[in-house]
Order: sequence, then structure tokens, then C-alpha cells
Amino acid sequence: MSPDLLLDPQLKYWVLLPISFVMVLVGILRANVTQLMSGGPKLTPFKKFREQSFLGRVGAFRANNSVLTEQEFQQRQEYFIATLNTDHFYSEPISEDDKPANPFTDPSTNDAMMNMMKGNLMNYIPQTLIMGWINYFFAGFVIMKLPFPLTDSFKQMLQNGVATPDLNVRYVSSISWYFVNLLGLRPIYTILLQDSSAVDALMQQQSQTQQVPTIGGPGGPKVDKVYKAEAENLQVVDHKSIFDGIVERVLEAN
Amino acid sequence: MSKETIYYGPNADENKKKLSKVQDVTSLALGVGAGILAPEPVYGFLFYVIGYTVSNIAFYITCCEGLQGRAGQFYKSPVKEIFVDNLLHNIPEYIMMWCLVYALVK
Repeated sequence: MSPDLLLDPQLKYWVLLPISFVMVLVGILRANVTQLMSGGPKLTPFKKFREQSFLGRVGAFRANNSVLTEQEFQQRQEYFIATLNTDHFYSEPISEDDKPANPFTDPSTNDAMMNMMKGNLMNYIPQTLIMGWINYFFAGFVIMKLPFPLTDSFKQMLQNGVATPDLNVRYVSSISWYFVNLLGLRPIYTILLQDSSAVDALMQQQSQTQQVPTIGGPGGPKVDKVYKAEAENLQVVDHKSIFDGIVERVLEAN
Repeated sequence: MSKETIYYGPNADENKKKLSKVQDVTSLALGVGAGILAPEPVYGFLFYVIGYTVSNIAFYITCCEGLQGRAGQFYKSPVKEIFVDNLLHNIPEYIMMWCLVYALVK
């Protein structure tokens, strides 16, 4: 057992605590800025939505047409087929060329890319700044003794900049305290922010896993094809009303 | 016919959140304790595992009414979710507090 190194007690007040304090504050700041930049939920343009909901209406009619009488069914079927064959509910005029649209000209894709870039910036800028700050102010000396021993392979990382090659690995430099904080501050954020989804996002950013934005691929089927297919489906719907022969059935049941 | 419990998503999430909050605070507090007691490294981690499990047992009994066998109403697989899932997840917090307090009181 090697004798203990005497560390200046002032180190903990002027290095250890400030680093933790700054990291907590930066984390909170980052969570708030991320929230401000993310904005509200995106709205679907109303024409697009109308297109979808008309299809939904046709689907509901196909599923539930047995509650209608023969005449009502005929009327609705005619109306739906006629409307499906016009372009009344299309969200945008159908272009003739069959080329799929370039996904990078689509504004929603650009938005997704933009969000990813913002997230990455919010991730890298504070981390780089804090690491630079620590390396600039607190480089080259030992600030603390870890309560547990580590193998020598950690020496490279944890004693970076300390010019004593034979020092016990338990004595570490400020940058390792930064790493310990980086991993361990999650519950502090949880308690301070009271919103675990923001905290999860924060920790996810810190762990450097990048989420791939959802880039709209080269489109699903064109809307006119979908509508035509739906009209054909509607043509062959076999209508059987629940009112057919209802009198006989009721009398039989009694 | 076996009865299957259906969990309402937001409620289940809320339960999990509560559990993880308790576990967060527990591991922080255990870290402070370990820093003050300054145990040998092996006992330090043992201290964490034992203290963590004791607090989980307390949670299981008081909050989940586990003795009446009702923990299954709050968690899908209560034993796994309460005792095992976050054990490794919370170690960094414990180590951080341990290091900090150890350095402060030394």
C-alpha cells in the first residue's frame, strides 16, 4: 500500500464542485433550449387530411353498409363511385410523369434534416465547450482520489496531462471527473426538471447515439390509383341489408 | 380460463416513473453514504447492491402491496422490473456520488 498523496483541500471547492455545478446548469439550459427549438407538433395540410378522411369515409361505408336500406345504399354507392372518379378530393393535381419525386426537394424532409442538425449542434457545442473549458483551466494536476482501484489501462485516459508516470491510477485528473459527471447526472436532472422525457432526450444526446430522421421515401402509391382501386372495390360490394325480411325474423323469434 | 390483466399505457408509465424516481434517489443517497463510510472497493459495490435491494423490497411491500400479491396490478413483471432492470443503469449515479462525497470528506 503506497502512502497517501496529500491533496490541497482547496481543490475540491475550486475545481470539483464548480465542474459539477456548471455541468448541471448547462444540462438544464440545454434541455430548455432543445424544448424551445423543437416547436409544436406539425400539422397536416387540410387538403391532405381531407383526402385521407374521404378514403376513411368510403372504408366505413364499405364496412357498415348493411345498416342501410337498399335505396339508401344505392344512392351512397353512386355518389362515392362518382366522386372517387373525379379529382374533387385530391390534395394536389396529379402530374402526368411517373417519376417519383426527389425526396430532398420535399420540405418535410428538409425539416427532418434540419431537426437532426439542430440536435447534433445542441449535442456537440456544449460538450466541446465544457471539455475545452476543463482542459484549459484545470489541466495537468490531480484533483481527487477515486474510492476504488482501477487497472493501469485507465491511466491514459484518467491521468491525461499529469506528468507522473508511476502515480497510482486512483488519483485522477479533472477530465475524468467530467466523464463521471457525464454518466451520473441523470437523476439530478430528473429531480430538477420534473420531466423525464426531456431528461431521456438529454441523456440520449449525451450518449452520442444518433437517431435517423424519418425521410419520406419515394412516396407510396399515387392518390389517383388508390381512389380508382377503391371505386372498383365499391362497385363489387355485396349489399345485404339488415332490414331484409325483418318482419318474418321478428315474428319467428317470438 | 386464466385472467389476463390489461395495463393502461399512461398509468403503467407513471408507475415506472415513480419507481425509477425512488431508485434514483436511493442510489444517490447510497452514494453519499458510501462516500462517508469509505468502505473498501468490494464492499462499496456490495453496499450498493444490498442497499438498493433493501429499498426495492420496501417499495415492493409498501407501494405495490406486494405482500397481498397485488404487485402484478402495477407492473407487468414486478420482480424483474423492480429488482433487476435498473440495477446496472443506476450504478453511474452511485459512483458519481460516491466519488464526490469521498473526495469532499477526505
